[in-house]
Amino acid sequence: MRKPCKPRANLRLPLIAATAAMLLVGVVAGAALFYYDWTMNLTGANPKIRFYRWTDATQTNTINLPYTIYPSLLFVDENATYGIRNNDASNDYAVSLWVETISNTSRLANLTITILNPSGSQEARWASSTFTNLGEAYAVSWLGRKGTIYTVQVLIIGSSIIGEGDSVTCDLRLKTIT
Amino acid sequence: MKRLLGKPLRIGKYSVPALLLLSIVIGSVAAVAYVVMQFTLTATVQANPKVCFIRWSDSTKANTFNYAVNIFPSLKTIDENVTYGIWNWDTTAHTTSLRIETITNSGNIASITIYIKLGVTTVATITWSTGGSLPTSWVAFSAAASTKYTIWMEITAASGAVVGQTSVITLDMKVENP
Repeated sequence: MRKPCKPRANLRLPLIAATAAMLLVGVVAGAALFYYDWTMNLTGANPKIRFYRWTDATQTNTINLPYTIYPSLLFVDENATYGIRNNDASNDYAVSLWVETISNTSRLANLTITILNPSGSQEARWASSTFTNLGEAYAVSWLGRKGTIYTVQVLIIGSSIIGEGDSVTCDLRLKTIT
Repeated sequence: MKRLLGKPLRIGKYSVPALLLLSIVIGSVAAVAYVVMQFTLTATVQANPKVCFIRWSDSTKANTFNYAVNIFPSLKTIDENVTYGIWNWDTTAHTTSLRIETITNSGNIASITIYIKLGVTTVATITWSTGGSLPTSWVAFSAAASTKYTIWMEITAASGAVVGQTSVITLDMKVENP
C-alpha cells in the first residue's frame, strides 16, 4: 500500500499564509458592514408655492392651460387662468421655471412665458424660437415674495406649417426650495 | 483644533473619527430640499381666429394679406375698399384693435389713414403722418357677430418720394377673446 504523499514543506507555508489572509480579509470586510435602522416619516403637505386660480382663489399643484393657436399668428394670454402664489406669510422663496419638453417644436415659431409681479413689472421671462433651450439648465428664476401672487403671461406664435387640429403640448416645470 | 478633529469619538460600541462625523453633519445641513411642480400648456391649432381677414373675390378667410398699390409724389391715393375686409364669423362680438406697426422708407410717406367701415359708418380710424411715432396706439372697435367690415385706405406720398422705391406699411390687428 502506498503511503500518502506528505506535502512538501515549501508548499505548506504559502497555503497557511493564503488561508490566514482570506480569513483576515473576511474579518475586515465583515467588520465594515453596519446595519442601521432608519425611518422616513412622510407627511402630506402642500408646497409654499402653488398655482392660484384667479376666478375662485383655489390652489393646485399642477395645471393645464389649453389654448387655440393659428398658423403664423401671434397669440397672447396676458393673464393665464392661474397665477403663482407664495403662501408663506414670512419667507421669500426662490422659484425657477423652465420648459422641459415640447411635443413638436416644428409647430411653434415662438413660445414666451413671462412672470409679472402685482405691479405689472416683469420678474422672469423664458422665451424661445429655436427651442434649443429646453431643460432645467435654461431655467429662469425670480424671488417669490411672501404672500405674493404672480401673473403668468403666455405668448405663442404658431408656425406657418401647422394645420387645423394639430396640437402641441408644452411640459413646463416650476421648482422651489422648501 | 487639529488634534480635536483627529480624535476618534465613540458612538455606542463604534469609534468614528471626529472629522468624518463633522463632514457628515455639515453635508446634512447643506443639503437642499425642493419640490418640482409640473404644468402643461396644450396648444391646438385652428385655421383662423374668430375675427380674421376675408378676401372679397372668393370669400376665403386669411390670417394675413398684402395690399400692393402705386403711390405718386405729393398725391393722395385712395382705395375705398381694398381687396380684403375684416370678418367676425363668430356668434359673439369681439373687441378688435388695429395699429400701424412699422413703415419702411417712411420718408416717402406724408400720411396714411385707414378707415374700418360698416357700410358707410366708420367704426375705427388709424392714422399716421410724418414725424409721428411708431407703432401708433391701438384703435379698438367692437366687431359685431357675423359681420364683415371694409377697409378704406388713403395714402399721401411725400413731395420728395423717390420713384421706384417701395415702402412697406405693416399693420397689426389684435382680436380679444372672449
